[in-house]
Amino acid sequence: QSGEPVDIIEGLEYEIGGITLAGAENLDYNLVLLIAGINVGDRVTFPSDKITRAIKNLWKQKLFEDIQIYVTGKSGRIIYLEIYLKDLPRLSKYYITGIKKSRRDELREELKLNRGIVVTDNLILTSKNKILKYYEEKGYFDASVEIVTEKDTAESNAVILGFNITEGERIKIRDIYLIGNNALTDRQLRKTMKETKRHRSFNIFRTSKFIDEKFREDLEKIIDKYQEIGHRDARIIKDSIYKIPGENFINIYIAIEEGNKFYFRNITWIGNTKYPSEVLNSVLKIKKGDPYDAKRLSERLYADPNGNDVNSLYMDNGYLFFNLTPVEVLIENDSIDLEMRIREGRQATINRVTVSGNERTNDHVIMREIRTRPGDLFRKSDIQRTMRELSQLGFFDPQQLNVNPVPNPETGTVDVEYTVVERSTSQLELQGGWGGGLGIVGTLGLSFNNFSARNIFNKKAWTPLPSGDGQTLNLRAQSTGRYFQNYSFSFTEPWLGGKRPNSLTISGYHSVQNFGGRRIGDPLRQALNITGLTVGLGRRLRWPDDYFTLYQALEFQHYRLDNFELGIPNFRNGFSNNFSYRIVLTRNNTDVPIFPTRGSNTIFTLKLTPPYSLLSGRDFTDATPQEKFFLLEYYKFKFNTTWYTEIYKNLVLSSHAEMGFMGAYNRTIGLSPFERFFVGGDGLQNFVLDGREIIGLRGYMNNSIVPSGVAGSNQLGNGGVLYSKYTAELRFLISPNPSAQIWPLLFAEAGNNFGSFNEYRPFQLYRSTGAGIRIFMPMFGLLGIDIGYGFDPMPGFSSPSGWRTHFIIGQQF
Amino acid sequence: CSEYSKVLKSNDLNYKFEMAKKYYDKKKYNKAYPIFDELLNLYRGTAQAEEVYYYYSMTLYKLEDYMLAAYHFKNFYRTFPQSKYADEAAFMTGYCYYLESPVYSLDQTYTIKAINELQLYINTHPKSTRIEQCNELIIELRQKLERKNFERAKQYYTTMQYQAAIVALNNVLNDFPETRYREEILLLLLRSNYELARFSIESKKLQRFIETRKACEDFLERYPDSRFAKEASTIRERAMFQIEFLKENQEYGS
Repeated sequence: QSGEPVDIIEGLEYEIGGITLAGAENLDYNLVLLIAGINVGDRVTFPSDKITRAIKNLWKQKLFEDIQIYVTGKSGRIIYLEIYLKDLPRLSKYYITGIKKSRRDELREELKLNRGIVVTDNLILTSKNKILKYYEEKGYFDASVEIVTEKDTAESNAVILGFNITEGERIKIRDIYLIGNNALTDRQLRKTMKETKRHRSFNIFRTSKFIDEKFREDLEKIIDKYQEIGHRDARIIKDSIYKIPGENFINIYIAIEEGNKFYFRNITWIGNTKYPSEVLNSVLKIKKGDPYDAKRLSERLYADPNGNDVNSLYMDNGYLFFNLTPVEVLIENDSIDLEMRIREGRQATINRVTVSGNERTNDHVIMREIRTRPGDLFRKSDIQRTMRELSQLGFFDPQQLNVNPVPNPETGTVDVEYTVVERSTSQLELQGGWGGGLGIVGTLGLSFNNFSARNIFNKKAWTPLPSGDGQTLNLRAQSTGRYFQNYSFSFTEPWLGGKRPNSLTISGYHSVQNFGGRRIGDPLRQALNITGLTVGLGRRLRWPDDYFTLYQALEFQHYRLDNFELGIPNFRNGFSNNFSYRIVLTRNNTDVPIFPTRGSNTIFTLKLTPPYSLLSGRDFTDATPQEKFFLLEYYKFKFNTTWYTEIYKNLVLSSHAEMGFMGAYNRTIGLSPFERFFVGGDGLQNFVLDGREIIGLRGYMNNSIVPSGVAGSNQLGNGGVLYSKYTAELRFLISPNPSAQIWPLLFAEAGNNFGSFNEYRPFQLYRSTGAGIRIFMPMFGLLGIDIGYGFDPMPGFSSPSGWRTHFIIGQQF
Repeated sequence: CSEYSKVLKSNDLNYKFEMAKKYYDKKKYNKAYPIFDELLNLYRGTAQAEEVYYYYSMTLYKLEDYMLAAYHFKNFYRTFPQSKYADEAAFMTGYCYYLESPVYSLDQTYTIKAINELQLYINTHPKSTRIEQCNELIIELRQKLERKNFERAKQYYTTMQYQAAIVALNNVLNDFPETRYREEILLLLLRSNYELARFSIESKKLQRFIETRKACEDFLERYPDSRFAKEASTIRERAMFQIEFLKENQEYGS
């Protein structure tokens, strides 16, 4: 304060005649005024809000150590102000000493100190605490930090911070002594303490660090454990930590007061009109005489993991405003009487249903999957099912799916808000590998799972692809030069017409296999061309239950053989047309698509061609193969079922059985050489395209299990017409991260393939067992490797098949 | 390009700023951006800070990073409320959100933000020349929300969830009293009511046919010359016939 004291009369209005700036070295005058929000010419009355606000605004910049505004002079009703600012120093650099480099780098991560940040006392203090906490978590309790602040002479008003750290010794736990425990043994209690363990030199995997925070949590766990067995008043009277002199070990003493053991006695329900007390008791599953376990009680009332608690019973019936309070009405000796006070409230109906977070997927794609609809009674189970089905769409991150019911007690309604987070749904497949005698196979596959066909011609929608209508588009090209080429596409619209979930699938492919001469007409040329087209309609059924889907398709395949050996006698040149109708009935109630833990998936398939020969009545006794196979005729059925059981968390047993049978309409024509079954190997459909059906059986060579019984006789005409296969697989999900799900597995399989119905021997099977691993990444799909041991000799061999390695691409088993 | 790396390496802040502005004027926003970004930190708390920040925000806008631009424009007019750019920045906040607002069938968070920011601008800058433009933008954005709600409600009708359709369509009428879709909503309402009534269990039929009749009357009263008027009166007749029939049956029963 310079000059003479100035008398300011409170309540009188003054005009600011001038403002000067003091203290701050390189601050801009106008900027300071701008921030402060005061100007020459402003009128102020003391005490002044305007001045207070100006100081506040300047503080908000977090640039100053000290801020003052004072009146320096007055003439009449005009006053002169001075703003005094003291800059805070900026950080120019900092160093850490006293510890090794790896720790230094870790600490730099923790500290997050950037050049240029303003150095305040608070910053120094929080940095120090961060360092100490870092060491505490590592078990160093004696660690200390000394902080040095130096002025950086190279820059004005800048400082260098130095952290000198003394780590001290790491403290470990020698022993944990428990006092006062009778109902639970020392061993049981030590086991309860998950993060606080004694040091045992023989167990090198166990850490015995002492972390105070974790220790406190473990003490809570001890109390929880007591409450589970009815000691509801159990408490820790005292806990002490003693450092063993001369060693880096501590001993822990815990004194427990167990209290009495209590039991449930009479449970009465009050206020229940919707459900009688007997029903509620049967849901509660707590009997008179059970140990008093508050945790179990609250779980049975509110939080059963499977949703079988009392609260859910009401919630599933619209009672959103339901309220239940258990009250201990009488405690007599060791028995407790409970009164369950219920306020049922009115049944809530849903009013608005909204979705947010859909930055790519259009509303209608999501809304059609949502089972909570306006006007419906509010049901918790509907929400759960919706959440499951939304995650099964695969467009959203399942971990971040969210739902928020907003009740409105006045109108008795509830608004349901779903929040989704989009994730990448396109897959790119680029692969190179060995394929059945064809050399290196290269594949380019693109699959777009949230495609929008109507936006193909809309330039703006290409970001990078037109998306958001929930359609699927797959494009694949596969080639080994002139020997083998395959091109395919498929397109699926899951809700044809938008009215019902009836899906339309259109797919087509063209493949060329060519040995010998290049050109058509070349006598050396041996080629097989296949062209196929499929139009399919799928629909979800509501009966017998709504896990069923029905798929029907018209399929057409055209084969052209050009001096090509398929294993069909006297049929090396010619055409064959396969025009068929396929119907597939599926019931799938698995919980998630990639790694199911519950539910089952059962598929029944019937595929048949028109019985041309029966319709025309033609005699085929002397017909040439070309005449017989010009229009293929057969009927075929397949049954396929997989059951998933979660044995332990993320440990799932998958049990699988399948079988298939193909028959002929006309004995003279006989069984079709096409469409036969080939069992064995990895089951990949990609490599052999000649109208066969490939069934994997690990531990054996690809396509090796065929009825003809000759080694290497896996040509088309030699395939089986009746097969069965059984698999048991134990999977353990080690990485549930949706960006890369990983699970190793153990399997046991058995299967066989027969040439006719008469040859069928249900217990004559080729057996194998082995292990493998799978990894699922949204961008690449499923990849895996299995090593299997085949116990039985393959047809045409005399010694067991032995160890075989299989590479898996896509979901096969 | 060598000139550019010289600018990047230079320690002369004023030179950097001048060059960045030059790049900006030449529409080389990709080049200008890193320099403004750097200057933003170095100029903090100085006289140039305001102008650098304005350019920085504008560069983001020109680079079509509207989300970030909106954030910085907002921050700008809060930090420098007396700046000559404050008015523009306040408007640009809303306008950037407007540009970020997607098609009606996607998440509308930015639409709502845009409406709020533009409305705030109108309230705080009543004399601005941009008011008219703001109003136009707000109308466009509100129509987007209106369409979203309408299409959602209509989807319930399309997917044959008639009860849900009735609730949702009525919500649209309540939320958007001036809706452009009123005729279609009233039509869908009477159709939904009729379909719901037809496939109801006996005990609910009478009540629902009465509601159908009312929905038909609402439609006909408001749109007597609509091309759907004939359909509405046909449904009304059918509903009335059903009502009479059900009432007689009830009397019979009792």
